[in-house]
Amino acid sequence: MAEKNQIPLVSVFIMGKEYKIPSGLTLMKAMEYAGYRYTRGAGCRAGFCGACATIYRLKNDYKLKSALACQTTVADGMYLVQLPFTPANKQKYDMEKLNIAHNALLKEYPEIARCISCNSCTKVCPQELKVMDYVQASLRGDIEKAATLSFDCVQCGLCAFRCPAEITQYHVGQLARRLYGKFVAPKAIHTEDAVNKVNSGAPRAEISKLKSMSPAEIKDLYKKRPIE
Amino acid sequence: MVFTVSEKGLELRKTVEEISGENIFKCYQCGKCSATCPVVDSMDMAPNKVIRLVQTGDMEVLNQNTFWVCAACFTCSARCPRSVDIAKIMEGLRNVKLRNKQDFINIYSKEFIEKLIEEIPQMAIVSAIKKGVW
Amino acid sequence: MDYPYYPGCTLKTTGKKDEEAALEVAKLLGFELKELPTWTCCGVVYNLTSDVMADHLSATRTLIRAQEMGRELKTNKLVTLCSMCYNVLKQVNLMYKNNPDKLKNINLFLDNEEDYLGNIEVMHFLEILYNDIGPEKIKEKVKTSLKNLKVDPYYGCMLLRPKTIAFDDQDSPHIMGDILSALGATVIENPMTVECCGAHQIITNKGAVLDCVERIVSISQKKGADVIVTPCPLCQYNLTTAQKTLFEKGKINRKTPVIYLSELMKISLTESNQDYLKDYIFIKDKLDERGGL
Repeated sequence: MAEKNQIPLVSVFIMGKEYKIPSGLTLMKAMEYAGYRYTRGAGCRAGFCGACATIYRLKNDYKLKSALACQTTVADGMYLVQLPFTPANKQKYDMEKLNIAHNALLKEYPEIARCISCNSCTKVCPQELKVMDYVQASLRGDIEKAATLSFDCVQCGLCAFRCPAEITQYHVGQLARRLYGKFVAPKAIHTEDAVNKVNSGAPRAEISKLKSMSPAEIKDLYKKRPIE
Repeated sequence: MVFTVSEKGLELRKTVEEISGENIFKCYQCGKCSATCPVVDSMDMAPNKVIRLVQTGDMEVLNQNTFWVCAACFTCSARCPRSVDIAKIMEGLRNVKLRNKQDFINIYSKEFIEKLIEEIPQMAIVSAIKKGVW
Repeated sequence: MDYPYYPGCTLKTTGKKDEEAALEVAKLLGFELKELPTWTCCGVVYNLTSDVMADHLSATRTLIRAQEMGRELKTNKLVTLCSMCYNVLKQVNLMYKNNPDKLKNINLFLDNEEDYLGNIEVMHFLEILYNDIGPEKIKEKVKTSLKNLKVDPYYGCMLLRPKTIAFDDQDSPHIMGDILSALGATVIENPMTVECCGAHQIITNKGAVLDCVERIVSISQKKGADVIVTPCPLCQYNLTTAQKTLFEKGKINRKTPVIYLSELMKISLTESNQDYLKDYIFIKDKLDERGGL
């Protein structure tokens, strides 16, 4: 009890209601400390799944800030809300039927042509990605740039929420990465070779031999293995 | 003949003048803009007639396809003897409709997506969207 | 001399040939077009309302990029190949000159960009060719004269309207014609040279585009033009696509090829490059049959 009193408490406003939270907790832990139980909006708790998108403001600051709740610690006066879901239809496409004609991304998501370069998406991205740049690259058919810039996207959906042109940036980035992987990135020939080798049954003989050995024989083989 | 402009008509005129920044009454109906417009044959109503309807505050003007077919080529503005910027007035009328949530934008027109989108220059798609016609 | 160069979306896709040719023509004439390191769509077409600022953001960002690159290259010019990009960037630039409060407003909004100071000079490739290089110098560098090739220079709307951005006469422009004459070609005078091709109506109202193109092309063909030359990628697309439909409907009895000015210049400023000319058989044939190449 004595230790708890020594940790400074900060005011955090969750959907308008004030709570006193020990400083040093992440926003996600803060919500649970305040008594909220997560049924949506929590996933990996490690900054990778994008489920815990949070928007907040600080005291006396008009600027809107964004964060992943599991990765950000509380600050005094934080005024927040969480956005566990973004309504965004994903286009259904068959990867086998797509090609990378220069308007490939425009064909599935023609709303990218509405982009006015306002940069709201970039400003809100909790991963600090160059979102406007990859949408613009998609508009002009530069699949490699779009795939490379959007690589670290966790699909939290905040960009789609803020976009005045109603683009779903993260879906566009996902399609760009898929097209890049299928059509543009150099093929890993050694992987194909290895898979072919397995399929042709080459290692089968050795595996059968190992399976037929006794544990003592295997231990012996292990001790005598070649070490480079 | 006495002619009274309705409340709505007055508001329409005021909005178009505000958005376009043009004085609607400078137009004296010479018809040069309509004569020179390259796409006038596809319009329900010629540009000079559309301006007349705005002058008299006739709400019918909002049902014409004139300002949607407009290609924004600025020829009318270049030819007008009174330097009325007709292109701006057309933009004003488009915006009256768009700002009232009467979207002309039909972004998933199937035929276009399936056939043309792969070969059309991006500039056509972006300008069609900016003018609210697609 | 190095110029900051803004390509625009279309020149990276359907207009690729224009860019490739123009970059090489520039080198042959002694200057270089350096692409801006990052850029966004220019935001075509210029928004004509008095209150909307959001549609000007794309163009403003481009002007700021040009400002940044201009400090490195010690110039305040920005060159563009596409007519529509030229029109938007120049009109936005002018709007800021005439409305300093709007410039202040947009600088306030663009909080992670440097302030745009309003000093960029937007130029089209044609202006560089005519004013900075000049037809005389171009004539000296001609290796393959386009003798006896009849060309029809087609300007379209965006280079010369409205008057505030026009760099040539609005009704009888001559700059492109002068350059083509310097290359040795015979220039046809077409009264429809500044008539609109229909622009974005190709998407929603193809009939309007067919009318416009018929008007332009029928006079061009009557006057015997072998090829129509244009700087704008959308005009090139509209003229080519509409002619296909007009030909099928029997409204015209042949199809005139439409190419970019830069492509024709590249042919003329290089030695008869048989490999490159494979793509331009229609020009090669015409020149051959009149003993031109």
